[in-house]
Formats: sequence, structure tokens, C-alpha cells
Amino acid sequence: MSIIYIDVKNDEDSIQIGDYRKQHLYYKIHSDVVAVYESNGALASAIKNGCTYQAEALFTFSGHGHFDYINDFGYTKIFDKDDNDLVSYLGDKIVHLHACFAGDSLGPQMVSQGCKAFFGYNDYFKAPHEDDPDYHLISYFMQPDETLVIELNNGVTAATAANMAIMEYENSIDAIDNSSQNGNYHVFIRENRDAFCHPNRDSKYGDKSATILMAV
Amino acid sequence: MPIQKKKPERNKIPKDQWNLAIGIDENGDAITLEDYDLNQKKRIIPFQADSIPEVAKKQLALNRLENVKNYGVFRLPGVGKVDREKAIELIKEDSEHAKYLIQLELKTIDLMVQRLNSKE
Repeated sequence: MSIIYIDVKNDEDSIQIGDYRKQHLYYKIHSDVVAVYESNGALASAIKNGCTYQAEALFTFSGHGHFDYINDFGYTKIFDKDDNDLVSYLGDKIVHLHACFAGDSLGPQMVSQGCKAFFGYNDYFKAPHEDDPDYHLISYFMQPDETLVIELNNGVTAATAANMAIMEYENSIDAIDNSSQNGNYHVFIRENRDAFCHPNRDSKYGDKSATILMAV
Repeated sequence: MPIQKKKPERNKIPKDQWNLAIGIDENGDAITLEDYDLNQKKRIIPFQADSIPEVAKKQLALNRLENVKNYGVFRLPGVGKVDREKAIELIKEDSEHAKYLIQLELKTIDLMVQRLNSKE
């Protein structure tokens, strides 16, 4: 079992998500993290090297996403849809991109080049800003991805992990509906759920039976 | 253990949403969610927020944003912090994010009307 853990924190938006993951997710999985790249250590060359040396890993990333690529700390592309060597980095991995849009084109391209399963978003990922009095509701926005990573780390299949994340989305929707007076948050949590990409949704997101236990 | 009663859908509508426009009538007056609720049986208010012209969508979104009390602050990539005032500004200047922010208001209307019409 091994996890390649990346938080590209190069502006306020990405710092918020990256720091939240560090506080709430990282400590739950840290013993299985074999390579961690954060802030100015999250550079494309280092991350690619890490991928080359770690087989059968879960690659989990937070940072800004685009339809076709994800960037590193210095805004250099880490992976791009047009790269033809994605297999050499991701061929034996499950990829989770907690980032906007990358589920649209980059995710399916990773899968077509051999990535076992892909999880991500094909739209903006929305979350409360820390200036909002209801900022504590961010936990409901982050919980589905947190559950996903923890369950994949526990060795469940991509299909099971996806179902558990979707169940978390339904719980989060219920919680937001019942506790927030911000009408737009009621919509955001549903938009995030609807943008969530996973193998149960479409085979272009990979193999439902994929796990990261295979290397054990 | 007593069975917990599920909260009726209409009770999940945030308080200030009742007084926000869900449409604009032919005289240019706002039709609120409360108006719609009161007149629903007579079916005098057609509700098709998504099918109205783009200019009317913009007008409707701005009307709502100018009157909303609880607008959750959030982050939008490329913009950063978006609060009610920023959303109004982005829509007024027809920024690249205006379309999304208008659509967000239409989706909010749709969700609230759905709750109102729910049998649950």
C-alpha cells in the first residue's frame, strides 16, 4: 500500500483546500504516504520522479485543475492531456484529483493510457470561503473526497469507494439543506456531487474493480 | 425508539428565499417565491426561469442578489473571494464569470420551486 500525496498550494484558493486536507485527511493516512509534495516542494519534475519510483500507488492531488492539465507550484504542467507518456507515471495507479475541471479531458486520457481508475471533477469544485460565518460547513464539502481517499487506502475497490463518496454527498446535501440559510450553498453541494467523476459513472474513468492492494 | 420524522421539503427553504424574485412579470415587477406559493393553485404564474431571454436572466439574477440577505461567500478560481457585492459587480460588467453566477441564481430558483412543489 502506498500513497503519493500532493497539495499544490500556490494561491489563497489552493492553500485553503490543501491546508484542510493536511489537517483532516493527511493524519488519517500518513503511515501509508510514501511521497509527499507540498507548496514549493510540489514541482512537476519531483512529482514525476516519485511516480516513476512508486508502483501500484494511490496518487492523490489537490490544487488548481484545468480541462486538459494540472499545474505544479511554479505553474509548470505536471500532466497534460497531450502527453503521450502518461503511462510511465500513472500506468499502475489510481488517480484522485481534488481539483476543478480535470475530470473532463485529462482524467479520461490518463485512463486511456493505463491509469487504473480516476476520480475527480468535471466542473468547478465549490467550497465556502473562510470569511463566511458558515465556514464550518466546509467539512460537508470536503467529506466525500476524504472518505474516498481513506476507503481506497483501506483497500476497497474503486466502485465501492465511489459509492461511499456518493453516500457522503447525500449526507452532506441533507446536512446543508437542514443547517444553512445560504441558498447558494444548497446548490453548490449538489453541483459538486454532479461534477464528481468516478468509474461507476462511466468506463472512461477506469476499472470499477481496481484497488491499490495489488502491490502487497 | 421513535421514528424520526423527515423534515418537509418546503421547511428546507432558507427564510430570505421566500422574498426573492423567481420571475419578473410583464410589468417588470418581481414575482417572489411567496407570490408563487400563494397563487400556485390558480396557476397564474408560469414558471420557466431557464427559458427566459438572456437579458431577463441577468435582470432576474441582479434583482435577487440586490435583495438576498444570506449569500454564502465562496471561492471562484480566477476571481478568488466572491461575496454578494462581488457577484453583482461581475454580472454587471459581463465578466467571463457572469454566466455561471446568473446560472447559479436560476439553479437556486429551480431548487426552491422544486421544494415548494414537493409532496414530501
